[in-house]
Amino acid sequence: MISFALRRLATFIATLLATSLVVFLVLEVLPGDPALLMLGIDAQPDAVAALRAKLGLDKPAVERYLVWMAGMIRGDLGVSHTYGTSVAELIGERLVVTLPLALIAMTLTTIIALTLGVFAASKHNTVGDYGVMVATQLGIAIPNFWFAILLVLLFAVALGWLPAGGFPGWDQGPIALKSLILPAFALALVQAAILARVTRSAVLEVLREDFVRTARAKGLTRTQTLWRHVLRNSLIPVITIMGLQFSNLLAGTIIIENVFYLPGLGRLIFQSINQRDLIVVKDVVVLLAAKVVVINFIVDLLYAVIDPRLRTAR
Amino acid sequence: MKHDGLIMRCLKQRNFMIGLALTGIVLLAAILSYFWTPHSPTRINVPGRLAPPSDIHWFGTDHFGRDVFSMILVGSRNSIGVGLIAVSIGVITGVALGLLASAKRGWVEDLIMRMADFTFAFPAILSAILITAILGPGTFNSILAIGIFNIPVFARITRGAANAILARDFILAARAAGKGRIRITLEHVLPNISNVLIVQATINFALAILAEAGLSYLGLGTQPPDPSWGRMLNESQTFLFRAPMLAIYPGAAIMIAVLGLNLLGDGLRDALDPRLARSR
Amino acid sequence: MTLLAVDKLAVHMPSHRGPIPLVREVSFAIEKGETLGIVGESGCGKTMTALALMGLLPDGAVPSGEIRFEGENLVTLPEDQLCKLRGNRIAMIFQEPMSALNPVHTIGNQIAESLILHRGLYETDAMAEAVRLLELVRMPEPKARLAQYPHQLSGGQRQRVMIAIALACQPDILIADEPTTALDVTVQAQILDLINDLVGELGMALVLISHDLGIVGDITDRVLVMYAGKVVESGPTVELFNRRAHPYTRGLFGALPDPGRARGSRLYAIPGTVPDPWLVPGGCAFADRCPLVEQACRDAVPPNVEVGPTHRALCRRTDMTT
Repeated sequence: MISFALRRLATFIATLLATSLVVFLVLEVLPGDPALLMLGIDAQPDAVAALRAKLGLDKPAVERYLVWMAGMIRGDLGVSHTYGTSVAELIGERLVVTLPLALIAMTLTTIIALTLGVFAASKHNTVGDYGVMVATQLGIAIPNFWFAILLVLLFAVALGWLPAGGFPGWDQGPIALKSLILPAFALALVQAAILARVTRSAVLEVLREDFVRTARAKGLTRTQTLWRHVLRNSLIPVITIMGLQFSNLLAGTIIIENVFYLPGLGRLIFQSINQRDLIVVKDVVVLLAAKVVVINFIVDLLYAVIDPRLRTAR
Repeated sequence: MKHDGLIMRCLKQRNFMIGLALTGIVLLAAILSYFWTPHSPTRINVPGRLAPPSDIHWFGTDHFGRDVFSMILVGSRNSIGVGLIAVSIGVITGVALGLLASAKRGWVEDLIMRMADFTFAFPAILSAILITAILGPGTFNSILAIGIFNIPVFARITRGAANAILARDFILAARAAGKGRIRITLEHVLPNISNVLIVQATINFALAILAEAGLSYLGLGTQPPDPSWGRMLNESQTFLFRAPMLAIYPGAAIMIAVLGLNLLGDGLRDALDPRLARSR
Repeated sequence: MTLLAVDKLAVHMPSHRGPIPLVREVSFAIEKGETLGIVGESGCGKTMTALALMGLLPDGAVPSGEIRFEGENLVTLPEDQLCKLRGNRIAMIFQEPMSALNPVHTIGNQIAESLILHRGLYETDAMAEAVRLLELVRMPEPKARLAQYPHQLSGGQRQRVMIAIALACQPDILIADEPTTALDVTVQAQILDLINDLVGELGMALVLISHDLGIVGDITDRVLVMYAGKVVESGPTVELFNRRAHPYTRGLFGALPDPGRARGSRLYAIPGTVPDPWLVPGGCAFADRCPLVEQACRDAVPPNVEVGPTHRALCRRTDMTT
C-alpha cells in the first residue's frame, strides 16, 4: 500500500511540473510579448517597456520559470497587475467562498445521484426506473446557468426566500450560507443527472454477478443484498466520475459565480482573464491543475480502499 | 451493407424519434430564419421595450425593444453553426490524428495520446475562456476554442478503435495481398469506426451548443448585434423582476436543442449496435 | 420421513412468443438424510427446479404447483418468510466458485454473515464458528483464511468456503448444482468426497444436480432423470442404472465411452437435439429422437409406468427396454 502511494506521489509531482511548464510556455513564451498582451495592442510603447521591466521579461525564459517556481513553493505568487495586492492573498480571499460552495455542491450531487441511481437500478424496467431516466435526460440537457436563473426566478423573485446574488461575507455568520444554497444546487444538478446514470448502470452490472445470487441464497433480502454486497462493488466507476466532476466543479463555478455575483475563485479567474492579468491567470491555472492532480491521486487511493484486489497493484 | 435495416431500427427507437423531432424543430427554425422572421431581430425600439407576449410580438420584446421571437429564430443559426463547425473541426482533425497515431505507433502515438490526456486534465470551459480571451471574443474564436476541445476526444476514440481493428486477421490478409497502409485505412478502418464516430459526434454537437451558450453568456462568444441565445440569457438577468419571461425563452431553446441531439445520439447508438442497449 | 414434497411443479417465462415452459411438470419427494441425484442434459430444467425450491428463480419466471416444506407451500410463501428459510433450513451451492464470492469482503465476513443473520450471533462468536466450519470443510490454515479475500484462494478452496457458508446454519437440505464441474479434475474428487462425508456426518438431505452419471452413481440413493422439463424416470440409483427403463436413460448410458468396445467403433450419440422449450412437441417430448417410438407416443402424453417398487418411467414402451 505504501509503495503504491509513493509511486503515485512521484507521478503527481511529475505531472504538476509538466503542467506548470506548459502553462508557462503558453502564456509567457508563445504569444511573444506578454506585456503587450496584458496591456493591449494599442498600448503606449513606454508603458509596455515599463511593464516588461517590472515583470522581469528581459531576463531569459528559463530564469523566469525557475524564479516563478521558487516563488510558488515559498508561497509568494507575485502581485496582481490589476488589483495590486498579493496574488496569494487574493486567492485566499476568494477560496473562502468557492471552497464551501464546491463542497456543498459535491455533497448535494452525491446524495441526489446515489439515491436516484440505486433506486432506478433496484426498480429496473418499472415506472420508477423510467422516471429517473427521463429526469436525468432533462437534467443533462439543461445549461446549468439557465437552471441557476430559473432557481433565482422561483426562490428569489417569486418566493423571496433566498437572495438572488451577492455574498455578505462570513463575518455575518451562518446567514451567509443562504447565498450559497442556490448556486450549489445549480452546480449540483447537471452533475447529479450524469452521476445518477453512471450509478444506475454500475449497479445494474453488479446485480448480474454471481456473488449477488450467493448473497440471496444465504437468505439476505433484496434490500440487504443491495446495501451490503452490491453497493461497494459498484463504487469504482462511480468514484471515477465523481473525481472528474469535482475537478470540473471549479470550471462550473466560473459561470455560476458570475450568475450570482459571488466573489469567488471562478469569478477571479474570469475577471483576470478579461483584464489580461497574466500574473494571476498563470498562478491560478497551475493551482487548478494541481487540484486536478490531487483529486486523481485521492481517487486512486480510494480505489485501493474499495477493492482489495487493487492493493497488490503492479 | 449493414445499413439497410438501419433506417427501420432508427424509426422504431423512441429516443431517436423524439430526438429527431426536437432537433428538426431547431434546424427548421434556423433555415426559416434565412427566409422570414416576424420582425428584424436587430431593430431597436426603445419605447416598446420589455413588452409582454402579444399578437405582434409573440415572445415579447427585450430591453432594447427587439422582438424576442425573431432573435430566438436567428440565434438558432448561431448555435447550430458554431456547434456544427466546431465538431467538424474536432472530427476531421481528431480522426486524422488518431489514424496517424494508430498507423505509426511508437513515439508518435505516445505523443499524441499524452497531449490528448493533458487536454482532458484541463476543464474545457477554462481553456475555452483562455483562448477566447487571448485571441479576442467573437464567433470565429469561439468556434476555434470549442473545436480544439473536440480534437482529443475523437483522436482517442479513433486510435482505440483503429488499433483494435488493425489487430484483426482480415487486415493481415489485406497486407499480405499487398495493399498499402493508406488503402487499408480507408477501406477497412474508417467504415468500421464510422458508427462510434457518428454517435460521439452527435453527442459532442450537443456539448458544443452548451459550450457556445456558456461562452456567449460570459460575453466571449458571438458579439452584438448578432443574436445569440447565451448572450440573451445574460442580458435577461438584469430584468428578472420586470420581465421574467425573457430568461425563459433562450434557455428553453438551448435545452431543446441539446436534449434533441442527446436523444438522437442515444437512439443512434442503440440502433447501430443493439448489444449496447442491454442495460442502459 | 419426507422433508420436502414437490407436487406438479412447473415454471414458465412469459415472452412475446407466449409463455415458455422451463419446467413442465416435476413431482418428487426428498426424505430426511437421503441423497437425491438429478441428471439430464443442459436445458432440461434441472437448475430451474433447484432455483424454484430456493425461491430464487430469475425475474419474470413464474412458478406454479406446490413445494411442501414443513406444512407451507414454498411457491406461494411471501418473500420475507422465504428469506428466513434460505441459507438456514435449505441451502444451495452453485457451479462457479470463482465468481460466487464477493471480492471486496473477507472470507470470514462472508461465512459469518449467515450466522449473524439467522442465528443472531455476535461477530466474535460468528468468527469463531467460521473457523470451526473451515476446519470442517478441511481447509488448510483455517484461521488465516478469515482475513483473506477470495482472490487469494484457489477454485477448490473457494468451493470449500461456499460449502462452509451453506452448512453454517446446519440446513436440513443442501442443494448442490454441478458443484465440481468447474473445478480441476484432481480437486473434483476431493470436493465430492467432502460433500458426501459432511452430508453423512450431519444427517442432511442432499440434492445433487449433475450431468455426470459417474458422480451421481457414486453417491446418490435415488435418481431423477429429466428431459425437456419433465422427470422421465425416477428410482433408487442402483436399480435405475441397471434397469434403464426409459429409452432416454438408456441413450445416456449408451453414450458413455466403453473401454471394452472395439477400437475405432463410433461412440453412440442420441440422434437429434434437445428441442427448444417453446417447440416441445405434443405427446412424448422424446418422440423425435427415440428408437422405440410409435404413433401412440406422439398422440398422447405417455403414462407414468411403475417398473419396480418406487421406480417409475414416463414411457409406454418400457416393456421393450427390459
